[in-house]
Amino acid sequence: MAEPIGSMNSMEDSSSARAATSSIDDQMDAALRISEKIIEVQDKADLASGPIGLDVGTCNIVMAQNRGNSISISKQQNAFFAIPQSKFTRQILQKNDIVFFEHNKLFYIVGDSAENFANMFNANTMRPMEKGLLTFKEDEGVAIIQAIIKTLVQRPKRLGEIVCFSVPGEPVNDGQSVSTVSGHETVIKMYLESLGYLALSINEALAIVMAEMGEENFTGIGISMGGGMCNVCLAYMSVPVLTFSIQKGGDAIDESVSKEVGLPATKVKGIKEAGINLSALPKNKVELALQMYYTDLINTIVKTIEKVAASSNRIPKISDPLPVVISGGTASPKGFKERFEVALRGIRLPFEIASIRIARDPLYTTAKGALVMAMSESK
Amino acid sequence: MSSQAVIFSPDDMRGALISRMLERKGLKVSLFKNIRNASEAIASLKPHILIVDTEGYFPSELGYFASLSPLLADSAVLFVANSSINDTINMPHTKVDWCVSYPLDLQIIATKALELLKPKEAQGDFKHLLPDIEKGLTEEDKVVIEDEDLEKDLMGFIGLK
Repeated sequence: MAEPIGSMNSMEDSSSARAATSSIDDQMDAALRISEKIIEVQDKADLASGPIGLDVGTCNIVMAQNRGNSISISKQQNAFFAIPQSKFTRQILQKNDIVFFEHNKLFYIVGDSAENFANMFNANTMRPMEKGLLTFKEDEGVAIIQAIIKTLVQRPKRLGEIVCFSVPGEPVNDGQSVSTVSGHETVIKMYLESLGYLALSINEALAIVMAEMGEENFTGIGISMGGGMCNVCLAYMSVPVLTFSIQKGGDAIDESVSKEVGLPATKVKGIKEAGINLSALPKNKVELALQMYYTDLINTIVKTIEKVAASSNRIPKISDPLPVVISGGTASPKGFKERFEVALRGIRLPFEIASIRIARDPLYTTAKGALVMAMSESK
Repeated sequence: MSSQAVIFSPDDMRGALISRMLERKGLKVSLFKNIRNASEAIASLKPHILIVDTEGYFPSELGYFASLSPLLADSAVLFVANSSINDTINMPHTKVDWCVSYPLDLQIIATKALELLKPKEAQGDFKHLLPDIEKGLTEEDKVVIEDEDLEKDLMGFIGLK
């Protein structure tokens, strides 16, 4: 007999005496309870037990696990630094518990340690991902990302535990069709499954809805503003109705400002992360350039939302105004929310916007939302 | 016990949205995409209501649903469409209604589905389902149903069918 699709009640469930109302409400309540848990950031990842949420971002990889009353978070920079092989260097690396692997007479130092080495050599770290996706620029890109994930996600205690990992939406690139998302997703999925997990993907911005919009029935717009890209998802009762990404994020701001003011991009990033205030007048040329390129990024994403929503025939009739939640490191500066709100209120949309807020833990929201999904799927 | 709805939709997103809405209204939902084994699924699940999202199905596939009419003698069928379809789907053994809305109006679909189930209960077939269905009706549903009753009364009064 035909099998029903999706995560709706399955045929096997049809004999259950449980009312459908309580079933869907129970699922929603369970997801809400998980999303309300507080976050505790760990220095080192615990041994995996139970479902895992994994945010595979351009700058950072973040892992979330359920720990009773809280959610345990561990993260690694999604970066590497290669140094020449030698017996002495190997001893130093091993002695200091630095994560590395060897290939082509080089040591590839991965994760947070890579930045320390890069600073030591007065050079920049390199990344296995660019603009939200695995890059073809590095021969060892796949091995590197596997090594970084492995520092956070070890083999599960039980075969077939669920890991839910984030993937970006299809990029909107001025009419160009660039569709490497499914290839990226397949590579990550294959690796996680080789560890013994059942790997499921979740759209990065849908994860924000899952983490932040439990009280709104998982209905609203999630926006993830990361280093490599920005992702948008309009979800209705947790169903992703509209998803897309733009391949522009915090890195693009750093690079543009760097060109304008003649400072290295890493230095600009440092100034930005030290605390730029978008609601105050700029004090110098770097702050002025940062404000200009922040405004440009906000305008790009808001105009793209307007364009995609206007051309979509998939948005259902929505009578209640929708909340918007923004997360990601790029949304962290003071005054960001206000500036975004002004831009968003200035466009035409086929639905009303209720409120705009920044996520409770902007750096960890995607991993938390992926965990909510992983836990819902493992029930 | 909740009433069983079987949904056929070729579109994952539309199918998921209709399913979620009906689940919230108290129905037990099974969602299918491919019509290949529809007769088997209907015979096995014996749904109280079959919902067919016509957007994306070929006319021949919609015709296939018409051929299932004998299997659906005790069921209601609700066809969902973005715009009215010229080809009539003849299902003589079955209570059929249409929900034509663009954009997709989940509230109206739910209201129509609950309305289709309700008269059956009054006849005794599904009397045991009445509390669930009443529970599923929101104030908004009731207003829509009342509006439709009013429209029927008015049309009858001025001699229109």
